Amino acid sequence: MGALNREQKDMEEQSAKHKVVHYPQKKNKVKRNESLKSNAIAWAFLFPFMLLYVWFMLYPIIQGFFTSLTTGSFGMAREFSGLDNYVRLLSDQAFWQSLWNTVYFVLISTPTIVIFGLILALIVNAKLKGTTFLRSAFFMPYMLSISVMASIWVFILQPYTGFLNAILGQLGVSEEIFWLGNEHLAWISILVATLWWTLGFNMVLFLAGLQDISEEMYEAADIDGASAWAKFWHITLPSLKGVVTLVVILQSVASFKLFGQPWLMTGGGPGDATRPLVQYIYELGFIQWDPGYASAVSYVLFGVMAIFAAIQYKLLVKKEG
Amino acid sequence: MSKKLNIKTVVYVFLILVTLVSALPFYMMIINATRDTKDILMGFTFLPGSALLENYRTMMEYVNIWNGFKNSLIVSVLVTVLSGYFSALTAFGFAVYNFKGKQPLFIFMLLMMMVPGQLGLIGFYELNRFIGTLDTFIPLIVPAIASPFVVFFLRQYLASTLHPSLLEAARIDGAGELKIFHTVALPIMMPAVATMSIFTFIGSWNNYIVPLVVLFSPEKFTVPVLMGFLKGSQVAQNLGSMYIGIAISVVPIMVAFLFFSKYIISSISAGSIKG
Repeated sequence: MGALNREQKDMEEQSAKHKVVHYPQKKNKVKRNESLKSNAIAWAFLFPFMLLYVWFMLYPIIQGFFTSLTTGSFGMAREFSGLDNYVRLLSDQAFWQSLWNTVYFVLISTPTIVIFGLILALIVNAKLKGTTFLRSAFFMPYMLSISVMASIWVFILQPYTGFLNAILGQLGVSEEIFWLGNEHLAWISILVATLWWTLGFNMVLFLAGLQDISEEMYEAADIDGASAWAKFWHITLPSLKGVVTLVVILQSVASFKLFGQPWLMTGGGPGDATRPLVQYIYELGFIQWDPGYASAVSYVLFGVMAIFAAIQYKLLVKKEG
Repeated sequence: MSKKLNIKTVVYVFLILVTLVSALPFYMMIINATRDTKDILMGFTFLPGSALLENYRTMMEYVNIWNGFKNSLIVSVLVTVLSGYFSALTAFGFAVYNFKGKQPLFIFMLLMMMVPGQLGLIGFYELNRFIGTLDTFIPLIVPAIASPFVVFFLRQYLASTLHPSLLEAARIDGAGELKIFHTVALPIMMPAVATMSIFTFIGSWNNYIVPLVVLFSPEKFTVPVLMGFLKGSQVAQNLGSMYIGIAISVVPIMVAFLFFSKYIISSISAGSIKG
């Protein structure tokens, strides 16, 4: 994020310079015409993007809000029902459960991925043999699509025929463990699968941050006789602040959108113990055909994410100053 | 000295373990693709079996995985190329011209980047139902062309690499603005476009929820939807065929990745620092 601010400043300077080239004096009439023309050209460049953006991104979101105020299935006449859908939320046990599930996953996955990603990055950044190969090996799972990743993990974790239980059996564990059938184990399974899948990507982000730290700082610390721990605590960690912020934001947004892992691994079960909000939205919208209520739940998800984003902004970005 | 050696040993042992954990699922999947269900149920061995062809035939009776591949490729390649080009065009508009409302518009887009696409899922479905594009690739390709993240990245890149004097020189030579974009700005942006293309391609290739919602016909399914479909179908009883389906959808990606891994990883590093 530090890099981001710097770039933005550079960019502003650049465009300020550019402004001078374009319109030395705004009062001049000829120049004003030119500025109008420049406006038109700029909009011509932005037009294809803006058209698609407004049509496919903004419009569905706004439309979703109006849908959330109605009842009725897709394609049928909608009946305006005011805030009924939102009132219904308050007493919907399944909604509260899935809201909690999503928040729970954000809370357990974000720190785990940040910490493990950083540890892996520190190791593959050390001057050891074979780290280039390792970087690729750790990154590879990120290239898999969610359903492939989930299928692989189901095969690893399922009881009786699963790979993990087969290995445990050979190690002398006689009890059959239901990794996906027990509430706590199911969450651990989803977390581990997610970790396996995304760790490499986050490792690479941290790696980039690590390689941006100048050697000289470590050399100076060596001269002062600093311990490895002191170097990590006083040089590495502060320098990584920007990357940590980036990873935390990216990861928490990704975790809020959790859908594929539980949908494909546990089906949201046992019961609805691992059903996240996005899965609930999907089920309401496309299985129960209740777009109004599904939209209302979508807006709650949006609200929760906005609150989280505001908290993160206060905690992470502002501090950096 | 000996303490240092010990630490190194510990680190290496740890690394070997993590590598095994990363690689073992891939190995398990490939080995099991060659074994029949009965063998697989007996437990895992490190040696391949002999049921590869039979598994392949069983799987192909249910789903045509190659067709899924073709669909995924069409969608991902088109999205990558189109979003690269139009994002560059938009970034150029933002970086080079000053116009009314530019700053607020840009900040608005930055904020909207935090909003997940799922928020509009219901509205998106209704929109596509209304314009009649359900069960086609259009909702997978056209909306993905407008990617604020790519525009943001390219604009930052352009601001630090494209000098206004280059534009002035081209204007004096009498080049039109669109020509300037194609001959001056686009070549300068190419490295950044390539970097973003990797993100876009991976994102599009792995996109699950949108194709799941808008596609109905199995022959139009992309790989992620097809794999999910396979998992819920009868073929899931035949473990060997399931494994081979997964293996086929993974191996080409693995091979491509092995060729490009260095480039991909360095691109992402560059992306995170610049962005």
